[in-house]
Amino acid sequence: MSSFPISIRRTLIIARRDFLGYIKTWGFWLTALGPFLGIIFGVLFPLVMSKSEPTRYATILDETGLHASAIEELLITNNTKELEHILRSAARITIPQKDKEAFNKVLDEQGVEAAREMILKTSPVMAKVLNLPDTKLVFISPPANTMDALKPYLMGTNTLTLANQEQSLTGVLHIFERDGETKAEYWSTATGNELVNLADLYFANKASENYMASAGLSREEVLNIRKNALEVSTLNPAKERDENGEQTVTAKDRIPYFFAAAMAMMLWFAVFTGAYMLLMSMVEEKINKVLEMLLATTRFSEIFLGKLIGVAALTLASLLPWMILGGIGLYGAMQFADGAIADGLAKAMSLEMLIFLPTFFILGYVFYGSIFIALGAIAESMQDASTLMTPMVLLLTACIMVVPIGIAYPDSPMLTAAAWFPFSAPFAAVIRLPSDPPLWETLGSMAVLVTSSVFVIWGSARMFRYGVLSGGGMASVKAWFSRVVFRRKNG
Amino acid sequence: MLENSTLPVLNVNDVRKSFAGKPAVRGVSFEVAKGEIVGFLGPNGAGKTTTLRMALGLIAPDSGTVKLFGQAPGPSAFGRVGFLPEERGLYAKISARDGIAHIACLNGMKRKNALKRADDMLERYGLGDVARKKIKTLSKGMAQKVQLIAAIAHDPEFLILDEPFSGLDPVNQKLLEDMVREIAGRGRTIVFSTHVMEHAERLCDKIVLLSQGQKIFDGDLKQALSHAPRRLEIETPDPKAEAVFTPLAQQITRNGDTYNIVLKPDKEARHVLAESMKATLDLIRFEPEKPSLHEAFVTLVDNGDKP
Repeated sequence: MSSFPISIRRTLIIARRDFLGYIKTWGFWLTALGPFLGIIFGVLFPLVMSKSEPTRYATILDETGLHASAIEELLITNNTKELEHILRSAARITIPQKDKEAFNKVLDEQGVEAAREMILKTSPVMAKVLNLPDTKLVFISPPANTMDALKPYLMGTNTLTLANQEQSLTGVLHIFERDGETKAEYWSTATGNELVNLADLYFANKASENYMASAGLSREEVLNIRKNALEVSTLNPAKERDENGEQTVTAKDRIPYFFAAAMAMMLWFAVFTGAYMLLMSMVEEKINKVLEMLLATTRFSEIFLGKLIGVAALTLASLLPWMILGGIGLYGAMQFADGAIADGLAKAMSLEMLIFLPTFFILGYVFYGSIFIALGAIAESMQDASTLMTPMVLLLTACIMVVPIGIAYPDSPMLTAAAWFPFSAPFAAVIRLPSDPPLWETLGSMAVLVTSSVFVIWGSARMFRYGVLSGGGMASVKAWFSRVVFRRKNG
Repeated sequence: MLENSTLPVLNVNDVRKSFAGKPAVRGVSFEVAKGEIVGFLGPNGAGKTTTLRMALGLIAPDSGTVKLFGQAPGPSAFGRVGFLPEERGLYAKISARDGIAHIACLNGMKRKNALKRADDMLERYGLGDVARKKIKTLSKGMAQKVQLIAAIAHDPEFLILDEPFSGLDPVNQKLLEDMVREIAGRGRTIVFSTHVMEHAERLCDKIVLLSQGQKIFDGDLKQALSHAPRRLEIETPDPKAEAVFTPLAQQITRNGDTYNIVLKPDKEARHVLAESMKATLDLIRFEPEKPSLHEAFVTLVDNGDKP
């Protein structure tokens, strides 16, 4: 009886069952909604919490009269620096390469408002969200002149009318002289330590300023000098010269590698989740003793293909939220970023990538899926499945190591070798695509995967029949090879 | 392809199968004609399940041939055969009706029709209340009935049931017997394996006995029973009785005036009665015992009898 001819109808019934069997589980929805839950709990929730946090009022009781205003100023300086940092990060993707130097000069010399005006010209939407951090710490003048008199304000016994509301003090930074030494104490009933950190930073800066001054140096000047330090440009002799005749490496050149890396990671994730579901689905059917009944009505090839299709559909469904987020990210990049990003993304989605990425996706999935179906067929229990899966997980983990190599050294011999090894070929071949490997090498990787997949499907079919119908289990791999592979008649 | 209606539904010819060099089935041959109920009997490990798996094409024989509906077993028979495997099971996490409909769909029914059939059959066999319950929540007996319904929902021409009665309580065994009779009453062909002879005695037209991978009998129930030793229980106070019975008996056990006699294979109760009358024995009770298939089976296995 041939294993290859199939009934599409029965195959799709098997696929439907596997798809519906998993899509109704909590585990699937947790995986599928993972990115959104991550955004909600990792980003939005803290953001809302921080926005809804009430303003805290603090005061500095500076008996020395030397530090209070400087500390208050440091809070404003810190916030400005944070905005500067955000503006510089935003400029990396919004300001064209040729204007970057001018932007840095404007930011250094004219300040954050002028720099934001520059971003406004290339990306108005992004400029709107680039504002000074919304500080929740506000300094007020001390409502009393002694620490003892201030304590009732901290305890809530005494209150202040601030912003038309009765408020208590959150904290008091008390700076005083004792035995010829300056001391600082922070009094508060709350556990937050924002003001303590600010004061620590101030006194640390003060200490280094005093030390530098003793040597005739200024800390401010040192910081300015660092700003003017030489920036190293990255050039690539293999790159075509741009309109200015330069070969500088830009975001446009790097994006294809990051895109390929992201795609390789997505393939890895799809293989990992899909293969796991295939294994579990097979083990579950074995444990439920339903396979023998299925085999009386359905060809093995239909069960095999049906499972691959069903779980592939399921994997795509679980990847859908990531794809949506990726789409939003791409749209955002087009909206907010300068032309280099869009150009880079266009370059990343080359004809080779559009042809070979889906091909390696399918081949990689079929290759690993077949292995996991076979493992599921010989596993007798969930414990067996875990034991059999461990080496595969280690192998998969080792194979994904090609991704960082591909980003850093796309011409690495190790990456080339990995593209010829069936377990790592799907990931290595995808990540090599931006470096334009010879076509025969990419086709060679495909040939290796196709050949290996055929071999794996053949072996899986043998293991499946042995595991399901002969009750062989995995008691002895050696016995299985000798009985099933080499002496088929006795199997 | 036109099918000859006189062709046997199943023809198994000299099939052999070994696992790891150990023979499980050794040259078994038999036929199942259309409309027959065939009992496939034998002790555990006799090779019944392996033979039935070969009959369905689930495993290939090492040698010999199997013809199902006149062809090698395989996809051409899908939808025409219903199979209840020895190892019970359906998808645990889906409802009874969905589990039945899934198998019926694989057997060629449209999903809508399959669901309706599942509902109807569950109702008919007293499981209407649990139609939408997950199979894992059902009792073992209920789950087994659900699986049997899954095997027959597409109304197959040929039904193979591997140990259908095992694990069922007497009430459900009776219910299952009724189901088998009802299916057979619609002209369907049925083969079921069992190691409990009473079910076969009550249901079968034909019996195939297997022992240690070999067929030791193949024929109808009457022929099978003819292999069972004849027993008589006679009560008589006559002192000549033992002398009269001894030439006819293989074994005599006496308890007071009651004699339990196992007749020689070529003798029958009428011979004992004739000799008793000739010897003018004073008979109080003369009671031939009905032969049992169990005894026939034991005799056949002991004798290594071959038809």
